[in-house]
Amino acid sequence: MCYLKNCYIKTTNILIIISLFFSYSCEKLFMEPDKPADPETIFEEIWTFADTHYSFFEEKDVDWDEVYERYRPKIYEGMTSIELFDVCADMLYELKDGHVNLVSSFDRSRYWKWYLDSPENFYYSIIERHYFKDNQRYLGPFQFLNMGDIIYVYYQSFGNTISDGDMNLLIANLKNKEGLIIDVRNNGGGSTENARRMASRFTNYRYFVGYNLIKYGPDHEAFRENKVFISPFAGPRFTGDIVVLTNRKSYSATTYFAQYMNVLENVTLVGDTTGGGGGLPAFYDLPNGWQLRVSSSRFLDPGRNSIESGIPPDYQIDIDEEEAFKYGIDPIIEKAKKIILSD
Amino acid sequence: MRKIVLLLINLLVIITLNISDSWAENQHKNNDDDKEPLHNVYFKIDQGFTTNRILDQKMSNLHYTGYGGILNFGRRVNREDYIAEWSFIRAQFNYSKPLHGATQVYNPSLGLRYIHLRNMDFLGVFDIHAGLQANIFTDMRIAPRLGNSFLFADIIGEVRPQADLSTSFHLLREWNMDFSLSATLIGYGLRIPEYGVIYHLGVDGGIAIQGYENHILTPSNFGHFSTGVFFNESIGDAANPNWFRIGYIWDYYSMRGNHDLNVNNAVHQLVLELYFRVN
Repeated sequence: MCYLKNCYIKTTNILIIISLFFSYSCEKLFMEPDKPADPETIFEEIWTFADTHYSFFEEKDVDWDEVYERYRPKIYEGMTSIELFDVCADMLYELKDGHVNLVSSFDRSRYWKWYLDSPENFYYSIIERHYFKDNQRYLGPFQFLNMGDIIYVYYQSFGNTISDGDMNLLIANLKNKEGLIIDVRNNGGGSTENARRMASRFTNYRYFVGYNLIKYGPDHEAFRENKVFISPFAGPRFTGDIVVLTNRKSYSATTYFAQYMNVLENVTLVGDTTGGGGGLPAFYDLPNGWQLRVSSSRFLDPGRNSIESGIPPDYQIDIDEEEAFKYGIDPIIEKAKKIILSD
Repeated sequence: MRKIVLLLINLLVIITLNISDSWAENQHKNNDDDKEPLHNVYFKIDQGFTTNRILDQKMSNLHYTGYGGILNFGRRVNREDYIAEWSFIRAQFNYSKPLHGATQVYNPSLGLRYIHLRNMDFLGVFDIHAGLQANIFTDMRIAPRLGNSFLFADIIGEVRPQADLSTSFHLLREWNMDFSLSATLIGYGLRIPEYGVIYHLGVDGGIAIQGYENHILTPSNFGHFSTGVFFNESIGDAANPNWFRIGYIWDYYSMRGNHDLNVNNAVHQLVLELYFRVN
C-alpha cells in the first residue's frame, strides 16, 4: 500500500509539472499566428477590411474589386513603408470619405475635398472681434452671447462633453428670449451622444429622426435597420425659434445633429450644406503598427435619403470674405437674427 | 427572450447551488447534538499578477500581450463531504499591446462564480473533490483609436465540471499541494459588437450601441479551460485556523464568432489566496 501511495504521489507531481509547462505555452497552438508585416499582407489586410466593413460601396458606386485590380500590381516586395503607405492611401482615397483614414507614425491619409472645394463660410475672428467683443460667457463647451432678444451659442466640437448642468444653464438664459442661434460651423464632429443630448432639449415629444443602418456581415449591402428617435429631456427645455448655422466643415456628429434638429418644426438651418460623414467609423490594427478607419454604418433621414453627402440648409448663405472683413459682419448670423426676429 | 431565459438558467444554477449549501449549513446549525462545527467558513481574498494574450479577430489579426492584476473576494465553506465557494467579486485588469507596440488595449474583466465540489474518497491517497462550477463573467477590450475608444466584449454564462486534487509530499519539509482542472460543458455567450467595430465610446465617453451576436456555447464552438497548481499553508492556531495558497492558474477560452471572427483569450495568474475563518 505504501509503495502504491509513493507511486501515485510521484506520478501526480510529474503530471503537475508537465501541465504547468503545457499550459504556459499551449495557447499559442490554439491561436492563429500574427499576420506578417510585409507589403503584400498589409495591402491585402487593408483591402479586405474595407471590402468587408465599408458601408457606402453601393451608394457611391465604387467597384472595389476593380480598385483592387488597379492597385494590387503596384505592390512589390521590398517597397519602402512610405511607398506602401502612398499606394494604400491612394486606394482608400477612391472611397471619397472623410471617415476613411490610414494612420501611420509618419502620415495620415485623408479625404478633405468635401470642404476644400467649398466656400469657407466661417471666420471666427469676425465673430470674436465684432460679435463677442470679449463679452461672451464660457458655459461648459459653449461660448454664448446675449444679443438682446436672442442668445447666440458657438459650439466648437461635439467631442467636448455637454453636461445636463450646461444645458440647464443655457435653457435658463433663454427665458423671455425670442430665440436661439446654435452655431456649429467648423464643428468637425465627435460623439453623436452629445448631438442627441442637445436635441433632446428642444422638443416636447419623442420624434423620429431617421434610420441607422448597421452592418451585420461582410456583404456590401448586409445592413440591419434601426429606427432612431429623440426623446425629450425630463427637465428644462426650449421650444422657441432656433436657427442652426452650418457650413461644409460641419462634419460627422455635427451632420447628425443638423439632421436631428432639421426634423423639428421650430428649427431653421442657415449657411451651407453640412459636410456629411453619415457613417460611424470602424477601426482595424494592421501588423506593421498602422491603423485603418472606415465608415461602417449609414444613416438615412425619414424620407430614406442618405445624409452621407450632407444636410442642405433651408437658407443657403455664402460669405464674401472681403466684405465680411471690411464691414465686420457675418451674413449667416445676420440672416439667423432676421429669421428669429421676423417670426 | 431565449437569451434572457438562458441567462436566467445560469443564474438559477448559481442560486440553487448556493441555497443547497446554505440549507446544509442551517441543518447542521439546527442540530442540537452537534457541539463542534463540522465545517469551516472562510472569507477569501485573492490577489495576484497576470500576463495575458488576446486574439480578437474583430479588432485585428494580431496577438495582444501584456500584464495586469487580479482581485477576487469570496466565501468558502470547507466540510468533510464538500467544498463550496462563492466568489462574489472577480476583477481583473490587463494592459496589452501587439508585437509592434504602436497601439494598446485595456482589458478589464468582471465576474462572479459559484463552485460546489463533493469529496470523492479515492484509495485514501489523494483528497479528490469533483463537482460543478457556475460562472458568469465579462471580458472587455477597450481600444483607444483615432479619437474614440472602441469597445469589444464577451459576456459569458457557463456551467463547468471541476476536479480538485490535494496531496502532499516531502521535500526538505512537508508541502501541501492542490491541483485544479475545469472545462466548460455548456453556456451562453454574447459578443459585442455584432460586426465591425461600431460599438464605440465617444471621445467624451458617449456610447453608441449597435448590436451583438449571441451563441449557445458547447464544446463545438467554445472552449474554456482552467488549470491551477497551488501550495497551501495554514497560518494562525487551532482556534483560528486561517490559511493561504500561492498558486499558478492558466485560464484560456476560445469562442467561435460569426463570419469566422473568433476570439481567444489566455491569462496566466500568479496568485496569493488568503482564507480567514469567519465562523
